[in-house]
Amino acid sequence: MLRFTLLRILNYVLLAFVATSITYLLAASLMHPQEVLYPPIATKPVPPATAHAYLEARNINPDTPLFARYARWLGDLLHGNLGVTSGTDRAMTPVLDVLAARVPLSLRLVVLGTLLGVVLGIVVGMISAVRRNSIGDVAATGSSFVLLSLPTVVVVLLVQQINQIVINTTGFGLPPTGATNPALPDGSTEQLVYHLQALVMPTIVLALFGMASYSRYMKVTTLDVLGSDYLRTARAKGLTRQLAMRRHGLRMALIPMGQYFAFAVGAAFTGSLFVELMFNWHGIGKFTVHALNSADVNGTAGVVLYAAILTLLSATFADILQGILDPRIR
Amino acid sequence: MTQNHLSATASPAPLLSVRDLSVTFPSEAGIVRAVQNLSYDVHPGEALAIVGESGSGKSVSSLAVMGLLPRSASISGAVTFAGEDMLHRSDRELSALRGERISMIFQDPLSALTPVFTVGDQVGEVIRIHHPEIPQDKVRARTLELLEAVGIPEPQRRAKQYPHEFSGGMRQRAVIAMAIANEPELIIADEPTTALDVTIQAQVMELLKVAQDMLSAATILITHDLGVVAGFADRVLVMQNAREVESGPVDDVFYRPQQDYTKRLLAAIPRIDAPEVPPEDLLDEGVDIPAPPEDSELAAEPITAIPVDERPVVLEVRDLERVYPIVKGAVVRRKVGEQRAVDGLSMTIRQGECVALVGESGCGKTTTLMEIMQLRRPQGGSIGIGGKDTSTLTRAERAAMRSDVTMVFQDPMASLDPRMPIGDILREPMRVQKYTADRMDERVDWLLRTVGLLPEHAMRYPTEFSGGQRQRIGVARALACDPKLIVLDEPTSALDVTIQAGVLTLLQELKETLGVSYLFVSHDLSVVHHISDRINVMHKGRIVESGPTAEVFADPQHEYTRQLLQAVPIPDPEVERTRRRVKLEESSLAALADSA
Repeated sequence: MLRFTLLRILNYVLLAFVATSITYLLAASLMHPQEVLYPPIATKPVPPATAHAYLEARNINPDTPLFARYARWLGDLLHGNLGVTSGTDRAMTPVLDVLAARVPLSLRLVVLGTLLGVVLGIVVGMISAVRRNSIGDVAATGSSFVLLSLPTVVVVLLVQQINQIVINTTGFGLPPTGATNPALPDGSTEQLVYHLQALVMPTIVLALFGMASYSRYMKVTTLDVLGSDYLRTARAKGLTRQLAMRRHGLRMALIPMGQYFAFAVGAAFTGSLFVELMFNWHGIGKFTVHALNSADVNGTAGVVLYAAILTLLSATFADILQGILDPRIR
Repeated sequence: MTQNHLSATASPAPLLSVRDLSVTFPSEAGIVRAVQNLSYDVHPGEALAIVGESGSGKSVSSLAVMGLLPRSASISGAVTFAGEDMLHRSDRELSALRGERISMIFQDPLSALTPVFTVGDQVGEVIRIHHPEIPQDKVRARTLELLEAVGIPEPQRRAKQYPHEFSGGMRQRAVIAMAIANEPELIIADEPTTALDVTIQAQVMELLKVAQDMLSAATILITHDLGVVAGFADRVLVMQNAREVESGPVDDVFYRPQQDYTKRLLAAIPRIDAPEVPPEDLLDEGVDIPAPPEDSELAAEPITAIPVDERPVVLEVRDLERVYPIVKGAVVRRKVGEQRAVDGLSMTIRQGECVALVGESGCGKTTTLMEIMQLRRPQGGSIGIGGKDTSTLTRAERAAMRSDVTMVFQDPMASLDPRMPIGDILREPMRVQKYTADRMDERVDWLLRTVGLLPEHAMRYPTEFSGGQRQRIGVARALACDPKLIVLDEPTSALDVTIQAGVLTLLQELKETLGVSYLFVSHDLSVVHHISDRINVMHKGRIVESGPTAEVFADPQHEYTRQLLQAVPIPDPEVERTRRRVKLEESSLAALADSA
């Protein structure tokens, strides 16, 4: 088992490395971070020596061959260094520091949104399968399709509008944007309460999308289970329809759901890009958009590394879940 | 608990009384009448068999009794169990009865158990549902007793295993253990052995019989196989097209059937005890086989004139071997043993001959077929087809040889593409062999007429045909390109007994008029009895006995062949009563009844 786990981890490290390397090579060959030095971004000409120093310090000099830059980036990587940010940001913040500051904020959103979406999706999907063609099923199916066909932006705006209406009518409501309140001291109870309040709306948006797609999967797997022989056996043993479904049916319907979980985390990451942008959260999502926009090569590679680790971890979690749920593959 | 049962047994009133039961389902094609005006009684301790073909309504009627029909079904009439109405009760009230006073055994043991719970848990659950007051350790002890009683070896270990670690027969035993756990007054067994091998079928039926005797429970056995009924039932009810055809004591129905349908049903069963009577084609679909097209190589006269020994060899298998390594370890796979699926098998088939390969599931029959059908060099030994060694074939030769060796599959539902009209299904092998369009059209007409269908059927889709007709289409496809050898892989085991006879007759006629050769694979000796010229009995990858069919049946040499022959049910109550095939530990069941 230990051997198996070690090999698995080695395999994942390799996968994450390959994904990040490919991203680095693509970003380094396609992006033009040197453009900040020239008009229209730069207002006055930059002396060649300054420009050279600027590009070298960030390892983004287009005159250095691509693979030489990659080699330097690799050397840094061996020392646990992902390089520094570039683009319009002059600060040269190490990418690792950016990630360390932003990951907890985003992870909060992604994990909570995924879990909530998955649990709600399973419940809604199962109910709409068991009560097929009832009003509840039609409503759940209809609203899932409407949600899935709407862009994230529209849903975010809808949720924000509803909150605004509530604020206008009652005077109370959730903070419209931002994860933290700069007016409050860090670590105070008020700030903590504000954090929690700020978390509600973005989580709702992510959970809604998770629920919409998850309830579809769950409905299909539950319908498969409903016609199964073992469910009939369970009822012939003397379990009522509901008990048989709860004890035998739900457990079987969950097995294929374990694998979808890995995808759900990936989907939530993508969803968080828009959500963070629209709620003005300074998380990974917002940083990703910024890094892509400002031709930040190291930043882009860093974000992809984070996404790869997140996906691989959720895939592992899905595998473990699968093993727990299904004795046939143990 | 036992006391209640005894008092119920003593009353003269019927335990279960079904009156004028009708069940209908809504469907896209209008209302389906699954059961119409069915009435019967089951008295305490009595064994009633309900016999009929698929779709005759026999299963639906018993599901109605259990209250397990889907909600879309509408039920009328009256069902009374132990004096109480069963049709107008809530799911909760019925649940209290199910598993406690009425229990049910289902057809497919492979899917009847929930795959994610251990067998012990699932058997114990029946006790826990109805007797939550019994402490856990008692439930566990009783579970082990039950598993032992139904003949599951090492119950301690086996109870902790999951259903996928059990064989089909073992799973059905576990289902029976569940059914008898609370000593019900009525056991409904819905085709309990249809999915099982003949030898396992014999054991399971014997177990049911013993369990029924011990618990003195009434039993309803639902089956399409009259052979199984003969040794088991006290009374028989025959159903056809949702209605009762005939009912009466078992001897009356078997020896003095009143209705025409019952007589034909009895005549359709292949009898191993009466070799002179071939199974009768119930639907009378037998056709005169039209003369093959002029370019066809199929013709019987020149072949049947020659004695078998001098005819050309179609298939020659020498010392065939197929060994699968058993590997362990997820990362570093190491060989821990080997499974000798086929272990030095040899056989010869000459033109116009039908050779049967008989054995239980897992004996290597299918592996043998796959090795032959691959047309490649086998792992060990050699395969020759029409005098050519398959290991020497070039790609083109191999492609051409695909039309020489064709196959008819077990499941007629799964082996025809539901989205292709049958004309296209029949053309496909000819298209591969680059026949011209005219030649294909001519052939499709001939093929359809040959298997007893009409040329205009070519436009229809497989779903528009019955199971028997679909198997005929499968046979027609196998015949399309003048095959030298047709491999029949359990061609009738997915069919009802009544339809089975028709397909067997067709195969027999094709062999006689067209001179095709068959390799007939089956687990059931009675099926191959009338069609095969020679029999090879296969056991654990080897052929343990082979010889002319009549000789093997008259004087089986190998112990295993005798077991197989004994396991075949004989549709004769007198004979069946004297045959006790399996010596079950009756004492263990008796101990079980005492301890409850």
